[in-house]
Amino acid sequence: MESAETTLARYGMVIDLDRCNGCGACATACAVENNVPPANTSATERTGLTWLRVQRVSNGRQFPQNRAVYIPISCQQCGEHTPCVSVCPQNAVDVNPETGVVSQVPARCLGCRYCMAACPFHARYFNWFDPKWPDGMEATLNPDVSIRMRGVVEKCNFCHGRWQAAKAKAAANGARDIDPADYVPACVDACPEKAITFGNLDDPRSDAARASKSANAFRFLEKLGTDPKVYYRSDRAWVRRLADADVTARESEASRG
Amino acid sequence: MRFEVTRRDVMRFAGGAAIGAALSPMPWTLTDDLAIWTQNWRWIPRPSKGERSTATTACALCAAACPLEANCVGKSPIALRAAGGAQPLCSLGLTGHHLPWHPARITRPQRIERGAARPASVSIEAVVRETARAMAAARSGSGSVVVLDSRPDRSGSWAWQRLLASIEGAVVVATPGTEGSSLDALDALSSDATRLTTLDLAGARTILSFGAPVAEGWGRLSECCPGDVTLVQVEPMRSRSAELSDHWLPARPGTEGVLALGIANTLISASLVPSSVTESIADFAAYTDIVARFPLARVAAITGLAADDIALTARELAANGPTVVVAGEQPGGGPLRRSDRVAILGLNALLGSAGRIVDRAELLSPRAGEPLAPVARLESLPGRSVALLVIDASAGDVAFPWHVVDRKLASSALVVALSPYLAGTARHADFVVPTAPFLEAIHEIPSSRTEAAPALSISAPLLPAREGAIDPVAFVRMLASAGQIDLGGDWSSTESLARERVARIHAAAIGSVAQPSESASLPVASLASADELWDALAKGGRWTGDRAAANPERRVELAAGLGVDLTREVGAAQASDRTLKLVPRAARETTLTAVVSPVLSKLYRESQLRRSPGSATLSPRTAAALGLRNVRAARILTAGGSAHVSLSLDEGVMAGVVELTVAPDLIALGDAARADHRMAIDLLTPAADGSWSSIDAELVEG
Repeated sequence: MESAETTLARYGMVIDLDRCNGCGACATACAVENNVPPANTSATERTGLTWLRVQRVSNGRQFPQNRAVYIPISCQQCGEHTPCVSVCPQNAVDVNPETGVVSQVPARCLGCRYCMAACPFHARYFNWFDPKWPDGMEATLNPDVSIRMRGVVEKCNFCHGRWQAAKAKAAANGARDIDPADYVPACVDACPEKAITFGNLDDPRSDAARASKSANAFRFLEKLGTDPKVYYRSDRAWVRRLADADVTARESEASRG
Repeated sequence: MRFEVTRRDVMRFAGGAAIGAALSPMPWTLTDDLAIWTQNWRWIPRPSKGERSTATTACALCAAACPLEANCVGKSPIALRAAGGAQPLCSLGLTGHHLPWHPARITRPQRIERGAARPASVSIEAVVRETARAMAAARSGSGSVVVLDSRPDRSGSWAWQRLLASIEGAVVVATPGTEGSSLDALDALSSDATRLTTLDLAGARTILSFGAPVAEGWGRLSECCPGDVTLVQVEPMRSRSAELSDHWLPARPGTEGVLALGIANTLISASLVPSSVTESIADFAAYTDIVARFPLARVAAITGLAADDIALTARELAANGPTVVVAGEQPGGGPLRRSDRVAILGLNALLGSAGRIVDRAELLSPRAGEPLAPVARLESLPGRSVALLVIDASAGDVAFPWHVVDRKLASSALVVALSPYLAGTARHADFVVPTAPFLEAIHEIPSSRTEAAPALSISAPLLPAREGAIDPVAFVRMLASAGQIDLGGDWSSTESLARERVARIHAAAIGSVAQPSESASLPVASLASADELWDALAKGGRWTGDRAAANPERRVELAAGLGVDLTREVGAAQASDRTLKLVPRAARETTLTAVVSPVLSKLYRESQLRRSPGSATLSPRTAAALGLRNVRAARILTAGGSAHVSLSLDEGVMAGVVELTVAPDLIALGDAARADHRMAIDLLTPAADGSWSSIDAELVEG
């Protein structure tokens, strides 16, 4: 009923890797907005909870020819054959037809982690620990986003709370569609370099749609045919060649030598 | 017909029921219910509910004083963002509203006994008594009193200067590594030592940065130099600024000054210095003689750079002016050596464009005509001379090796820190006085040394101060009272002094206020009262005063300040084949405060974006040359001690260099229980001039 009244959108983002300086403001803003708790005492890089993780990847060459690129990786919001959706036994993962965003319903999640195994982008995180904030810091939590319990999988949902708020605002103003300026995910808002462009990829007037069609735009693991809605762009050929590489493994190997 | 229930019927019924139930939605509903039930334990935090509102103020976490808008529920901020289209906040600013609840927060004065496992709470009266006793001893000649100020030019800074005015030899010094402190080398270039100087950064088209974190917000350069600016970054490591620069010159650590003289050599020998510029340099002939000793081939051999690259850089600087040359404080590494800074900053005079040395207009003090203790440089203090050290970290903290200060302390010196947290520099104190953190009290953010015009922002509190927090200015009053020192006036708090300062600015009707919500600045003369000016500042506005008038008589002396034979220092033989250059590395925001939000553990512990504290990185080639087989764990040995570090290899690190990560430790990240009280930065032994940007170290397995 609702979708019949509102325009269907296909939200996505384009991340300019030549502008990203790896400051981490996007990852921080994401955690603050979505009530992602601080690291548990025993959390490690493998058991951490980071809806948006910035990977540093080098070109592998020796100093001083060595160059690095920072790649923010969150849920890529696959549009076709969404692997996490098809494996979830609980219907806890679904694609919202109104936004194209892959949604995660923690309350339904059993914690089987099939979706994590299926995700080719390693963009899903299992909540290994009880969510805890230092005493008193609960007062800083965002009331628009519920807290998830240990034992469920979490991931980026393009700040669903902000989309709902934008929808409520549009409804209050008697508008059918939301104002694009009212729905901007926290990471986009926080980026000091304006490296992330967000918008409706189906709207040719949106900056995101235009940027996604630029010459040097690419998507990670496009060959899998999952139609991710997160695009990247770089003028550097070696960066574009990373599109089909496992960037997480690559950097870990470099660290190990 | 007789209806008879057999055992077989019962079994069939039970089996059928089980199969039917399994095929019905019931198990799934039960599983769902179970999943929902297990997510609603009573200990799961619940976000607060209440009326939503927004409030604006200024971020007090660094000198940039970004205007920010806080989304509040009830009266509590739940999110911070840049106000009025200003530059987005950094990670530190985005999480600033977490800091009042940081686990390292203290609300009672603490005594840290040497060797004791835990600090003990004491009364504020006991702290005042002990501090006043040490002050009285210093007045009778047992040593000097020094206040280490993490943010000079605040009203609180003025209060300390006012208190110390009555104590012979007492001084206020800026905390080592404070933003803009590298520019104190400009004093050596100015023929008029009585005037404050800075660099004119406005309108630059090219920036030559020696280690300054330009792309990370250092020195408000982004505001001074809008549009396309060519950035040339000189740094031995591939920092974020180096990553985003147009040209990166990876000079060997410690050779920055030589590179500057090499560039000067090219500029002079290629006649790229206009005659009008040479006339403004008092000792141009002597400077030319020194520079002549640094031909390109020699500079290239010392710095490890290609001679062509150096020559090309020099020509680009001259051709693509106006050019600014800055020697900033490397995050975690503090300023470069003083002689290097003099050589680097001297290039500004030689290029004669935007980066010219200008007078820095002083910010009006809260009260006029009162006696004040002088401001000094830490390295100018004699060793083991300080009997009482007060660390005022109430407005922020800077990561620096404790050796820098420790060698100035007398054996029985008393160290008192003012800080909201039992973390950072305060952990070296005997007593820690709790102050109110950002968002709980008035904080002033005056202009930093990098700004030519005076400026002031006020960070107004959005939360009520927690019981027990002591106002630094009130603490000064308590000390004066205990020491029977008459300070005059009726000021008793930071707010009262700050309001006096704002009233003076209003009365002088100078400058204007930029407000986050308005596109045009508001002239102070147009404001009816000082209260109006105060309100504009408290809502995130920034007052900027007038620049000092041009000083046509100013001449600079480029040769005199060099003083040290750079060549001899650079050419000093290494202690052994295993000696490496240890270079501290940090993200800018992590060296500004004693603590960071525990949420930043996302960057430090739960991802590979930032290296964790206690880690070091070196190139695989260096590891192979040292014969390191187990590259996971190693021990770093320096003149300052030794420490175990977790080691990683990275092709992006210069050969012969080991990068030591200076990052928030576990206490700073909110995990006090597992904290290692030895900070990695304390491994760095400072040079005689107080710099610690690179030192010799050895690396051994184990």
